[in-house]
Order: sequence, then C-alpha cells, then structure tokens
Amino acid sequence: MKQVRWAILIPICLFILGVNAAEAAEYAVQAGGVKNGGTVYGRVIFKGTPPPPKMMKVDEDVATCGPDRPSEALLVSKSGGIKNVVLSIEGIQSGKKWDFPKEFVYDQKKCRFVPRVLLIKPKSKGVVLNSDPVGHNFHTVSKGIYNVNKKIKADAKMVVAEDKIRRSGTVRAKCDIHSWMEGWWVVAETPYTVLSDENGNFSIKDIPPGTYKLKIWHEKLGESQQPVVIETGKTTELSINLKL
Amino acid sequence: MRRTILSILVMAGLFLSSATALAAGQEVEKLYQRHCTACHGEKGDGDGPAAYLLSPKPRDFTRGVYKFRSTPTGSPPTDQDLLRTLKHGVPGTSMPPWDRLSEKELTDVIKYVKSFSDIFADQGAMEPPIAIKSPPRLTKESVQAGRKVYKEMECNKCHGPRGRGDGPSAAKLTDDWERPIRPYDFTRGPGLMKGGAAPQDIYRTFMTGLDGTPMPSFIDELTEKQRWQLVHYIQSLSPAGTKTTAPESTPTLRAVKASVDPPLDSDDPVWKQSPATVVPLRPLWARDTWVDSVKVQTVIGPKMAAFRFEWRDIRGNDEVIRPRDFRDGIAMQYIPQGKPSDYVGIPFIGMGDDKDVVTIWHWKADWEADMKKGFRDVVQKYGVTMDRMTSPADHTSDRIYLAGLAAANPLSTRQHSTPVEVLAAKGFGTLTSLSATDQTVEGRGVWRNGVWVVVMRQTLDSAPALRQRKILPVAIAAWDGDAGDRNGQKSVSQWMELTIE
Ligand code: HEC
Ligand code: HEC
Ligand SMILES: [Cu+2]
Repeated sequence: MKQVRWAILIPICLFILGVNAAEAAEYAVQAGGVKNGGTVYGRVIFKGTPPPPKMMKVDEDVATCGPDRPSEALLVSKSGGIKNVVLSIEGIQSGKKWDFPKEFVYDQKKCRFVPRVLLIKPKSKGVVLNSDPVGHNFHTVSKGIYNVNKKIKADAKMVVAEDKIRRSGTVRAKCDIHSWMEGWWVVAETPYTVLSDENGNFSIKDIPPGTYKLKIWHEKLGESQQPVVIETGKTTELSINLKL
Repeated sequence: MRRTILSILVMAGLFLSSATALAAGQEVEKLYQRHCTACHGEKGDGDGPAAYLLSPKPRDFTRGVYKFRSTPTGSPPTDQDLLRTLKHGVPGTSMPPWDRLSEKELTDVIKYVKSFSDIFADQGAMEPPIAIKSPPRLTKESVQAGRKVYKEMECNKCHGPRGRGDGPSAAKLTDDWERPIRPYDFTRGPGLMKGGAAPQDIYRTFMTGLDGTPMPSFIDELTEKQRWQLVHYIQSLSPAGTKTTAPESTPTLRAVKASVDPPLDSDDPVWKQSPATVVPLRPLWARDTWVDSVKVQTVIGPKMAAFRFEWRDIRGNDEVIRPRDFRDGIAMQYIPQGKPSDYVGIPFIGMGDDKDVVTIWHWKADWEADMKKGFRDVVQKYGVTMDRMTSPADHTSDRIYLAGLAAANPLSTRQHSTPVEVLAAKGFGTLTSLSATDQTVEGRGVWRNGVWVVVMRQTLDSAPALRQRKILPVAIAAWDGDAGDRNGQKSVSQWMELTIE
C-alpha cells in the first residue's frame, strides 16, 4: 500500500520541480527597477517604393461598413516610416516592470478592428467591443495561443478572462461575415516590446546593459532580427530597413 | 532498515510502472499509426500521406482546435466529445466511424491524440461543458419564431435566407488553415450534419460554435427560449425524406457457394440466392453527391467466383471523350494473404498496404463502352488526354491510379478484351497494373433507370485465395463520373470481412 502511494507521490514531486524549473526561465521583474539602464531609439523604414494599398471590397452591410477602403496591412508614411511594426528585445531574463495596461480593449468600429495591431501581455484580461449597429463574429486564429469564434451582436461586448491567452506569440483576428476585417494581437514575452508609430518611430527604455537580439515583426513583412548592444545609461540609435 | 526497504520498493515501483507505461505507450502509438497516421500524420499535424487526396483535410491535432465540443469556444473538447466523434465519424467526410475499436482502444487513442497539444493540460483553457436541457415540443409557432431568430442572429449571412448555404458571406469563407469552407446547406437534410442532427446536437453546435471554422458560438446572444425556436427552425429546413445516414457500422460480406458457376448476367436467378450487403462509402473529396452506398453480393461456384455490385447513379457515364465527361467505375480489392483482424474497420484509401499484397479488380464504364461500341479515336477527334482534366484533386492526382494508368495507358490500349483492370499493390504508391496475360477478370455492367449493376468474376484457379480461405479482408471503391470523380477522387468503404461458407 505504502509503496504504491510513494510511487505516485514521487513523480508528482518531480513534476512540480520540473514545472518550477521551467517557470524560473521566464521573465522576472527586478526588485527596485532597472537603474541607469540603456535605451534604444529607432525608426523602421520601408526600402523602396511601397506598393499602393489593395482596395478592399466592402460588399456586406454597406450602410455601416462602406464604402470600399484601402487595406491597412502595410501603412507607410510619406517619409517612408512603417506603422505597426512590433519590436522586442530578446534574452532579457529580468528587468523593468510590465508597463502595459492592466486590461486591454479591442474595438470593432465601422467594420474594422481598432487598433489594427494590439500589444498585450500573456494572461491579460480584456474586452472585445462591438461599436457597430451590425453583428460581427470575432474569430481568432493562432498556433494554440488563443482560438475562439464568437458572435458579438450590435453594441455588445465579449469578455476575455485572465487565463485564456495562453502564451506569447501572434494571434490573427478576423470576422467571417465581413471578409475584409483583419487585426492582430501580439502577446509580448517581456515588457521590452513596443509598436512603431505612424512615422515608424519607436523607443525601448530601461534596458539592462548587454548584447541582445532585437526581434522585428510585421504582419506583412514578416519576422527578422538584428543584434543590439546596450550600454549603461546610453541611447543606442537604430535605423531598420524592411522590404516586401 | 525500514527505510531501505521502502526506498527499494519505491524504486521497484517506479521502474515497474514506467516499464509498463512504456510498453502501453508503444501499443497506443502502434494503434494510432495503424489507424490514423495515413490521414492525420505521424506527428498529428494533419499531413499524413493520404491527406492530399482528402477534402476537408484531416484535423491538425497540434493546434488543439476542435470542431465538435460540448465546451465553450476556445476550450478543448472533453474525452466524451472525442469519443463521440470517433464512434460516429464525421458524416460526409473521409473520417470514418471507429466502431471496430474497443472502448479501451478508443480511450487509449484519445489520450494519444490529446498528447499532440498542450492545451489539454491547461487548467485555464479547460471549461466545463454547457448544459443542455431536454428540448420542448416543435410547433408551427416555434418554427415561425425560430425563423425570426435566424434572421436576427444573421445566420442567413452565411447559411442563406433559405438555409441553402448560399448567404452573401458564404463564398469567401475560409477555415483556420486558410482553406475554403462552405456553410452547411440545411436542405441536404439532417443525415450529413457533422455535429449530429438531434435537437440537442443542433443546439450544441450553435452554442459552442465549430472552432477552427467560421461557424461562431452564439452562447451570449440568445435566450433559452429563442435557442430552441432556432433549433426547430433548422429542423424545419431539413425536409422529411432527405437523406438520413444512420450511425454507420462496418458490415460483413457473405459469399455463398453455388452448384453452378455464376454468370456475368446480373439478372440471373443465382443472384437471388445470395444475400446482399449494403456497404456504406465515404467521399474522400467532399461534394454534393457521391456514391454513398453499394449493394454487394458474392457467389462462388465450382470453378468461378463472382461479385455483383449495385448502386444508384442518376446518369451513367461511360465516355471519356470530352474533358468534362468522367467515367463511372467500381473497384473491389482484397488481400489474398491478409488477416481480417489486421484490417477490418480501417478505411481503404487506395494505397496498398505495407504488410500484404492487395489485389484490385477495377471495372470501368468507359472500357466496357469501348468494347461494345468499338474504339472511337478520341485522340484524333478531340486531342484530349486523361491527365489534362482539371479538378480540385488534379494537381496532386492519385499517384496510385496514375501508376495504374501509366502501366495501361487508356489511350494506347483502347481495345480492351475486358472492362476490368486487375492491379496489385504492396506499400504506398506501388499500385501497378498486372501484365496483359494476367488480365483475366471478366466484367459486365448495365445502367438502367438510374442504377448501375456490375458483375465481375474470375476463375478460382486465377484467384486461389477465394477457394482456399474462409475469411478475407475486402474493400470497395466507387467513382461517379458526374461528380467529377477520377483517379484518387472517389468514395471508399472501410475494410470488411468477407466470409466464405
Ligand atoms: C481516411 C482519413 C482519416 C482517417 C484514417 C482518420 N481520420 Fe480523423 N479526420 C479525418 C478528416 C478528414 C477529419 C476532418 C473532418 C472535418 O473537419 O469535417 C477528421 C477529424 C478528426 C477529429 C476531429 C474532431 C473535431 O472535433 O474537430 C478527430 C478527433 C479525429 N479525426 C480522430 C481520428 C483518430 C483517432 C483516427 C484513428 C483512429 C482518425 N481520426 C483516422 C480523416 C481521417
Ligand atoms: C460566419 C458564417 C456563419 C454564420 C454567421 C453562421 N454559420 Fe453555421 N456554419 C458555418 C460554416 C462554415 C459551417 C460548416 C462548418 C464545417 O463544415 O466544418 C456551419 C455549420 C453549421 C451547423 C452544423 C451543421 C453540421 O454539419 O453539423 C449548424 C447547425 C449551423 N451552422 C447553424 C447555424 C446557426 C443556427 C447560425 C445562426 C445562429 C449560424 N449557423 C451562423 C458558418 C456560419
Ligand atoms: Cu464583422
């Protein structure tokens, strides 16, 4: 009887130990914050002439959603800056506090997702709104991160509970009723993750000194990376070129 | 002292439990490999060697996204849900019911399927099943009310105003793997509903949604009363008399011995003495119509063995002259040396088997027509060859049947002495036509009033297994030219037992 109990208990203990070991590798917040960390300041630029945006045919609920509109998958400013590029510094085990909003809000307005690209942290909770007088089916596609498909009627909302967004990565949002609707959730691994603004500018602060990889992701331009060296108290300037 | 004993016991216990777990694990892996790998892939990613022949595609288990659940959208299915899917299969698709596996085997294989995704171990993701009460009575009023709910909920945007699956958003729908997908056409009747057609099943389908597809969950949209009204309206769209496929199970074929040799004439009285078995077939490439069942009879005389096949087909297609004309056909395959218990219940996909040689008799309507009408020079008249025909399956046409065609090019050998081609395969992609001297299976097909009746027969000397063995694994495949069937695009049965008395 006893050995049976042990035979069960030991693997359980091992399992718990294993889980703890795995968790230790995850991002940890430094007590007291990062003092005298470095900063990356940069700009993401489109190399060459960007193609004219594709016109999306709005053929459903035209009164609310119309007229036809240009695709927002690749937004390049007049001076060549790319909006909605996700930049993250990889390999920081511990550092600053998460400065992301406690709860996210994702809206559907005039049959488009607002914002198009949303940055959130793992296990966030939040709400998906429908600000339109027509229904949308909020449908997410991902590799096991967050996959739902729920009808949200006019002026209603859907709550996303805390433990539903399972890990970091990218999640595509779509509405099947309105085929042109597309959005992205990027679930960050560390707080050293930012989104470029409409001029392609970004900055990442409070980075412990070291040599890291800067990961670059854009829904249309794909994923790339480059090394970045951070020195104590200094600002590293970067210019990043992306092309189709 | 006590402690040493204890730790020895613990060590032994650990060793034993892990050793037996390992052995059991290998058994389960074998079970999965034998039954599921061809379609779902060794790694569970839905990319098995047969996947290119199939539509819809087999589920990619690595994503942890499941259509048929009793749990809310985003939550993995329960074991009970998976068991239901395995027991019933997925109607209208190549996913067969696994009724021949024991309850224990089913439980084991479910565990294995779950191991491909970590979502099953995630307490946060797992939610309890939704509660479903017993349905209220369907009335004229509840159907009327349900019609309003259907419109308010915008079901019509995908399923269409009359439920024909032709709503304004229908044409552009894709699943999570970016493959086109169609909303269900309710007028096809309840029998092809993948999630089940009982009122509770329909309720569950729109409450939980079919994850991985555009079909959303309406769990927060409706009052309990409206839900049942909607169920009643959906039921009313599926007219009585439309096809209902009862839960399928793998049938057994029975051959009877006769004192005279069975003739090719399908009207001969000998066929009246032989029991007919209705064999359900599943389309590998889903579409609106396919040969969904074939009646099979087997008679073994002193010198000859014959099979009679009967199936419904609105139009007989026996010409391959123009590209849009595809041919009808039927094939019977058996494994002369095979042990039925190794095969029964597994779908026949057309790829041979690693262990044993599969023998195939393939009757082709166009070959028979050529024999009857004399060879018409298709090449001269239209300059068309078989492989130019286009269809969804074409870009990756069935390697097996292409091999068959290459060996017996239909254009170069239009003068057939028999409408039946005999082929053999051992292992994937090894199907070859037998040499001309071994093409000794005779056949005759008659198409009358929307029914094909085909008889194929061979001497027992040429098919010794049919004389010597008491029980053999057999399977059936059928091609419907009107539905664009050819090569790998066909309907298939599972392997069955043929018992010879
Ligand atoms: C002949 C090919 C084939 C074989 C063999 C096969 N499957 Fe499938 N399976 C499919 C297809 C196709 C689908 C997808 C049907 C759909 O999406 O409508 C599927 C779907 C499934 C699903 C998904 C249910 C859901 O809720 O999404 C499960 C589970 C499954 N199969 C388990 C198995 C197991 C276990 C085996 C082996 C015992 C097996 N299948 C063998 C073709 C096959
Ligand atoms: C955005 C498009 C869309 C909307 C809106 C939609 N459906 Fe569906 N529905 C689908 C698709 C696509 C399928 C087929 C899924 C498959 O075959 O895997 C489906 C399948 C179904 C099925 C399952 C049939 C089966 O095979 O078991 C039922 C029942 C159903 N829908 C009911 C409804 C009802 C009721 C509503 C409205 C309350 C609705 N649907 C709204 C797209 C939609
Ligand atoms: Cu929408």
